[in-house]
Amino acid sequence: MRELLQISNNTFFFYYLASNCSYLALLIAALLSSRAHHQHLASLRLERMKSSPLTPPITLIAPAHNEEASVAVSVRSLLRVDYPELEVVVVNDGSEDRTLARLQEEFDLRPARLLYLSQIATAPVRGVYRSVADPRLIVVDKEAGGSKADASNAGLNAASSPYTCVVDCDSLLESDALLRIMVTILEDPKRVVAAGGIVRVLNGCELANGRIRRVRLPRSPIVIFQVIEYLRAFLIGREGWASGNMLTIISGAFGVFRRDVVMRVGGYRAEAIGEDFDLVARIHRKMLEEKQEYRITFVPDPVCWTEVPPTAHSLGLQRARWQKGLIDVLWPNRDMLFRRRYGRIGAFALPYMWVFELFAPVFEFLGIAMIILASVLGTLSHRFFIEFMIYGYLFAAMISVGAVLQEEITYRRYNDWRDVARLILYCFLEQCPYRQMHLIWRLKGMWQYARGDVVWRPMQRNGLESATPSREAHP
Amino acid sequence: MNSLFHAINAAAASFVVRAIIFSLSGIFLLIVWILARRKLRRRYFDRLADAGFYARQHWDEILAGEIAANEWNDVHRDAEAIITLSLDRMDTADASEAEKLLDFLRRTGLLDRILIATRRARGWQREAALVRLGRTRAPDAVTVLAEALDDSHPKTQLAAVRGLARTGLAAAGEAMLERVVAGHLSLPGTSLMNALIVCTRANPRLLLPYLRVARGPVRELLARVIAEVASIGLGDDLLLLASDPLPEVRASVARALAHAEFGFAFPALSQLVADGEWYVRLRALTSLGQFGQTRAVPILLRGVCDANRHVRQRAAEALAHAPDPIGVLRDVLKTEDAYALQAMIAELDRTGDFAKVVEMLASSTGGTARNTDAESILQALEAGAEELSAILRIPSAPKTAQRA
Repeated sequence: MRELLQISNNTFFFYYLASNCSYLALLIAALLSSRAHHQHLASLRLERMKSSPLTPPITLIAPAHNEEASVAVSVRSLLRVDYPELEVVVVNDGSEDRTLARLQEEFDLRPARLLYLSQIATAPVRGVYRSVADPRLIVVDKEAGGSKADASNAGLNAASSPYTCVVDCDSLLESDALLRIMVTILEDPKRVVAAGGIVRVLNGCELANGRIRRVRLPRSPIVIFQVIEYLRAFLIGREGWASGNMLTIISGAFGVFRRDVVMRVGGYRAEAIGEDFDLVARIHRKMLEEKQEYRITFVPDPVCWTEVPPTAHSLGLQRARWQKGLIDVLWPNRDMLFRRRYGRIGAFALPYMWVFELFAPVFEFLGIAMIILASVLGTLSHRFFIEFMIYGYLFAAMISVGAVLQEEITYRRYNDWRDVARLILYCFLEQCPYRQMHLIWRLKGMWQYARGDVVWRPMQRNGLESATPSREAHP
Repeated sequence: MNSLFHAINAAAASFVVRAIIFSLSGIFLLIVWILARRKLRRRYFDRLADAGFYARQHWDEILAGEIAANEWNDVHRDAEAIITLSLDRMDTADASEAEKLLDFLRRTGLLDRILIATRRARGWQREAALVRLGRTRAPDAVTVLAEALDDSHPKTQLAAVRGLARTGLAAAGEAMLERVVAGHLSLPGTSLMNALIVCTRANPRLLLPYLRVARGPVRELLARVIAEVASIGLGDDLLLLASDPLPEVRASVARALAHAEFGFAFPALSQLVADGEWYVRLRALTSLGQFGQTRAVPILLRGVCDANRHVRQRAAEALAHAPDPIGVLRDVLKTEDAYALQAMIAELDRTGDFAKVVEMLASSTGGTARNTDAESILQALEAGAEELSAILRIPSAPKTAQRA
């Protein structure tokens, strides 16, 4: 028994060490990459891109399912995005509320018998509308397909631009977000097939007419923890992986894809739980199998603001779903692991996802249980136990503070000193009990997936418009 | 086994202590970095803003030399603010104002300061300096920027291309063209094309000798540039390129011919609408449509019956703007091509004219021969529209998709 505990403790120790080393490597790679990007921007002027006849058109696709509360504000904000040739396709995915009616009232829609070609199969389309008020807006009304992926595919069918960007209807794009994300694409249009931007937390910010008037940190601790998580995931994780051309996730809330490439891989997989991760994985697979030179990049400065779950319950549902999405993509792509033809994706990125993302909650749970048991049985010295816990706590806090530094270097949106101080403080508070709650949600997600429970449970949202007064009341 | 565990435990214990110290130091350094960066940046930008504000307030005196250059030239921050202000004004200046600003930059030694930065600075600072040099629009900047095109680092080359684009000078265009054709400059297409468009817009003829000798992707790139800048001034050269073996070049010529006079462009465009490549036909039909001439209508009618749906749609777009839409619809019906009719209906829908045309037809229906004609068009339109809606309801089997 003692030997077994000893072996398991050593295994968990080395697992934890490897995981920390990889975080540290990602942090360093991300800091270097952001610095290079920031410096590169010094010799670039976005307005030149705007006036160029060669800047390609983009279609923004916004799937909307029961988004009555926020759809008008969100679409208005999308139409205000500063980009020379823009088309906005809103897909009403069988909403049971007044989403379509709200769009009709706000944008004066009339039926348009456009040549809608169903290149990717979706749930039946009931009608296509074009706005009289702004002809750049197209609304596709379809029967509910049961997933965001199905709605996104309908949007892809209706899109007429070479580049598409799927955004959530409860999100706000900064006005220069598309120009900024297109910088990397236009510098290498043949190779760059997709680019992801950063998604940041909208809760707490002050809004006016669908635009952010002032970026503030929310008051709710559970939302602040998510702010730190988002900074860590995007500014360290994605930036770090993208610097080695190993980015495996582009957020479903904001990412630009070459439409022909998305069409070639058959669009989004309608039954996928994590459709964003699934699409990127299939693009990697296709490109690597066809031996094509390609890049999937991350750009740290184009910002999409999104509302995150404000309560522990809704956050728990979201994280369980994310965990299910992770399994749902990694399992079908297991044949890519350690196969030469899948290059660095098969050799590093996917194994990392398996070991340090998918199984992390299992290892963490077992690790804590074993260490406590060993400490109680006396096979582990109490001193070492305490020192190890302190190390774990400090190292995790260091990575989170690193994410705050990245925020400072890249976009520096929290201008208030108090917000920065609170962010740093919460980097230290995140470890207990939030981290343990997160662990349980993820384990729950795995358990649900194993039981075959893959039903989509929509997140409860306040809506962009209705949330504004409370945000303005922020001190 | 026990000794192995013992060794691992001892190593782990000593590692953990060191890791705690490392993590603590890391946290401390990161927080200091954040705070110091905030403080320093704030101080720097506050001072720069003050300097900029002063320069804006006294801009006329500074420009006229009433405030001596040595009063601000020695302070790096003040000189930076004035350079930024000068270049911002240069971006929107007309020729005479640009000349004054350039004279000011020369007189005060600011141009030299920028030139020196392009030679002394390294990495991103050199790249920024190269773009800045281009923004001065100084003819003598072209040589320095052209030298940077020969740099081995692609980022420096890209910055030089951006700088040359900012000058907008023909000499800058030539410097790039020479290297592109010789294969010494292989940058991503968009930046290079943008720069060439800016620099050759005033004199597109500059591109022709290079286009004649260019091969492969370079030839495609130059063709794309010529499509953007071509004007009637290119004359017969443009017609010669209409029979180029490369479809990209033919498509570009078709696009460029939209800028020519109708009489000149018509024969070449009539030939290009029968091209084997769909995108050449599409470009030719688009150009023809832009003239808005009735002579082009029969050709556009052939286009609306094209096998490719994009070409059909573009022809329909041009036909929808024809002076006699009812007459055009009658002619489309005569073709007995359902796809052509669908393209027309979709286009009328897109432009918002569908209801207007239906109303026009409905009001003119009656007993005369002419009115019977209107009624048949109306019926066809309504039936076609219904059919289109049906296609939309059954997206898996659209008729147009089978054909395209």
